[in-house]
Amino acid sequence: MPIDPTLIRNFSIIAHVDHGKSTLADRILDVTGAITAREKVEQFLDKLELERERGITIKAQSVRLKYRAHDGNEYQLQLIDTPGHVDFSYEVSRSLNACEGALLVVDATQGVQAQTVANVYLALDNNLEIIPVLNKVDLPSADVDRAAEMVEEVIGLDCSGAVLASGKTGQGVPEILEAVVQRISPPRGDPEAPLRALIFDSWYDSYRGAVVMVRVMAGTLNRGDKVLFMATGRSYEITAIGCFTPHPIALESLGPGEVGFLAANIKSVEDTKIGDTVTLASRPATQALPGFKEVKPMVFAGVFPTDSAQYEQLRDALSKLHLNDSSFQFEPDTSDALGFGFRCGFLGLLHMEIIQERLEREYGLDLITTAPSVVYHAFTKVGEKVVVDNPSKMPLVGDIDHIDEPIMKVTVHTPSDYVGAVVALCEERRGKQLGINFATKTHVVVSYEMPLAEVILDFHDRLKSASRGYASMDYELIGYHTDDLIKLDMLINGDALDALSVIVHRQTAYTRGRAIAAKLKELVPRQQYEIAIQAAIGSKIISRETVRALRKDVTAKCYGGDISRKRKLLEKQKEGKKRMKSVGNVEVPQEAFLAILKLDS
Amino acid sequence: MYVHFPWCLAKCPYCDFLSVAADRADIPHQAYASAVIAELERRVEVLGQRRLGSVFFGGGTPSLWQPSALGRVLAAIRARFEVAPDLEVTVECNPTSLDDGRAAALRDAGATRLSVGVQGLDADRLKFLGRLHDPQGGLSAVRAAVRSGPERVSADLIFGVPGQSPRQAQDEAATIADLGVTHLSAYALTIEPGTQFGQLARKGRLPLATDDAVADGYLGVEEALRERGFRHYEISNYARDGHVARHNVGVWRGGEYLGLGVGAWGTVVLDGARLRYRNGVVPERYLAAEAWTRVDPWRQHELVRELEPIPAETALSERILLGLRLAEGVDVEAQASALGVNPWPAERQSARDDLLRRGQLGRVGSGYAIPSEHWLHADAIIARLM
Repeated sequence: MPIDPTLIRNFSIIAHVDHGKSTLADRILDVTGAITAREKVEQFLDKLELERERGITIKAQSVRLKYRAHDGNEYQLQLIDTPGHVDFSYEVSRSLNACEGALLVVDATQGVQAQTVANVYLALDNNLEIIPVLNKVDLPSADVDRAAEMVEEVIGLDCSGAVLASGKTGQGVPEILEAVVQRISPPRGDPEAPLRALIFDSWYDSYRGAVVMVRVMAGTLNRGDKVLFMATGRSYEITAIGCFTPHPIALESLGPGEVGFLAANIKSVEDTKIGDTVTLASRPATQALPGFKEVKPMVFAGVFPTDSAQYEQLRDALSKLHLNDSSFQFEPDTSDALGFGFRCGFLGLLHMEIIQERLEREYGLDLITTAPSVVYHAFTKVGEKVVVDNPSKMPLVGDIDHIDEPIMKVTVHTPSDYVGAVVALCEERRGKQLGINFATKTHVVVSYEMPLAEVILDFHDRLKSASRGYASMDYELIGYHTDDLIKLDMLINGDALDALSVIVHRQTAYTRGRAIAAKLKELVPRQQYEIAIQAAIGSKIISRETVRALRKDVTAKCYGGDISRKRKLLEKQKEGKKRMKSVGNVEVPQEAFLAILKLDS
Repeated sequence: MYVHFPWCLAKCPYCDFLSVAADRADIPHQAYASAVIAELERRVEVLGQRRLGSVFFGGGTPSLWQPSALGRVLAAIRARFEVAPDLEVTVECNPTSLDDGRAAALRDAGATRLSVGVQGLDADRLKFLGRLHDPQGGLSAVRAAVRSGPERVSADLIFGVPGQSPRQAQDEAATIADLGVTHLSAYALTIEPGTQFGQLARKGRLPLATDDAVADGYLGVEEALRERGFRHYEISNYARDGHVARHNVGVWRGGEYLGLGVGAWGTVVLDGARLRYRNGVVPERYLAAEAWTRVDPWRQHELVRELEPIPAETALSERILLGLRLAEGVDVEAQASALGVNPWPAERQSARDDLLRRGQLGRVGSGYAIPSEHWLHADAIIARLM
């Protein structure tokens, strides 16, 4: 018998990295008796080491808690964890869609940080009740009034009901739970209506196949039901239903408002699209839940093993990561400079960094990742359309009629003080202004149309520095536009470094070419011979730098006592060389392949 | 056999060998000789009969040692081994403690070779290097060694000193060679961590020669000495035929040597296993009565501060490292088979093939050597083959 929906509260926690989300979540688990003392050693909600180090929750983990409130009722609280970065904003929006409310956790020693702002707006878009929590009030540097003022000013959220809390001491946690019960509305939904359940997370389990996390919006889901995933059109028989407490426990059914996981012998996470609607095959809903989007990689980069012997290992590692993350794609690729590797597609730059780090850390691989690129559409003079997700696939200059590039609508939330700097940055990035709107007196929403290529080129970093960290951004694809684009090649002693080719706007080609050549000059160490570094458009050289020959690389004295030390120095030199790639006669360090990313524009 | 004599009249700012500044009068000549002999007695206990090809008295400034005390140590060493008829006995000498009398006394004590630390022939640069002698002192010390010392005399030069032109380095080498030495070591000034220069350099307060100046200095020295009939047999060493430093060549060929004295290094094969050790660096402890009779010389304690087993693979790497610094090169396969390891693991093999293709490595007999025109890049080449 499903629980009475009026006793259910579904909520998530919105917080900036380091503002204590995980600690506070642990305290909540603690107070409700969900985890034992031993488990407290680890912050429960952040699973991966990587997440902990980066302070980013990548994969949502959602926990069901029992809580007896002051009104005497026992409530079923469902904490829904959300990833916290612009690359994952679609996933965040789906997770928030599964809730009726959210805790906005703000570090009282630091005030509002930009990253939270975008997610608060996502939450408001989803009509969630937001409960401000001022955290870390136990610290001497906490300034509660100032933090509250900032929440009101920057976000425009009333802070009179803010809860003062400390994840460290546990202060305020009971008040938070009471606020969740009293202020967040219970879910609504007709248990007799056709089933509609929202998929907001999925992962791969080697025993059960792809497992999905769902929130039932209407109807009831029972073990053994034959269900239909409306977006993919595939049907499955449900083999297991359950929830996390945080340990997984089996359930017979999920009623309206309830959150849980289901397994149905689904082969791959690719078949479990975030935002898809689960309905009953025998009695399907007439309409899917709104908001579903097909997530497609927008940023592509080559990933190559430094040591070609690691190619097979890299392929296995990519396959394993893909099992759990279908938004990440890969296919074999070869480069003259880097050998055999893979062309990988990511949601954005952070997604790319996360995958790269996991490959290096969890799988012990030594990798070179090339400059990220977007997907261009090149149209040849004979009318053929070539999809270019790698500059090396660009047709010859003479054959190209025109090139289209992906255009994004970029929405920036910023305190009004930084509007000027934000607008200047957007203009510099070939942006076309769509509007500047005041959400509140101090909170401004700046919208621009901008090529994705400009967005992935350190736009986020620049935005942060232009706004002292307060501006946040979101972007979505709105189409393809034609522009005057060309392929810029980099040559080392006449050999093209195909991995460094980029597609740029003609107006910026000279500046970019010069800047990349100068950066390469810094990064390529002096070697036995003089090295010429050139930037070229087609066969035309537009810039040249020279790395002078290294005249001397030899140890003067090497006698008995020294041998161990000299040996170790040379071994270190050898290790350093291993991280280089030979291009013709030139040893090129890995950092050089990221030179394009590191330009100080 | 290497015997370290740790005392110097002053510590040079570039030197990273163990040296202890002391007044002449404070040097415990006989006591140190006795302590070295005590160490020798303990170490030879487990060595058994071995053939002795060379003895090198290094330092520090072993020419400060009373020749009679040095002679006593040498006699004790000779008594414990099967001695080659042409035993080479080198004593490092500083110009401030070398005149005709001292040269003759060292010869009489059994030295067959003197190595004179001239370092340079320019007053300002000698001062910069912290040397206590002037150009005349260096020249007269070499003359005294050639005139009154043993048949073989070597001189040390340092080039690549800031302010020195390549031409000056070349001229200094020529001048010294013309004094009648049969061997010359020419080192590019190297800033080592842990030295006074190292500290200054870290703070950016040490003037440094450019790489180009050092490389040109090296080429200048080489030209001067080749013209005069010296063979460039190791990256920093030149000799007339038959006058190479046999002790050093032995080390570079991967030979064993016993080290004695404060801070001395040694590498020996014990029970089939290669072991490198370094003695403690505190003279007072080394000199303490009966110090060596109380300890096992093959274990780590206050008298032996480092013990490093050298596995066979590492030993091969070292032989490649050292052998490729020699004109004669290294017979990798022969060395590997003696050590019982694979001479060509895939990585080394592909590096070898690539280097052969580029001409940075050549075949010499059944071995390999770096052609001398590539010696200025020897580290980069060697690193690939380690």
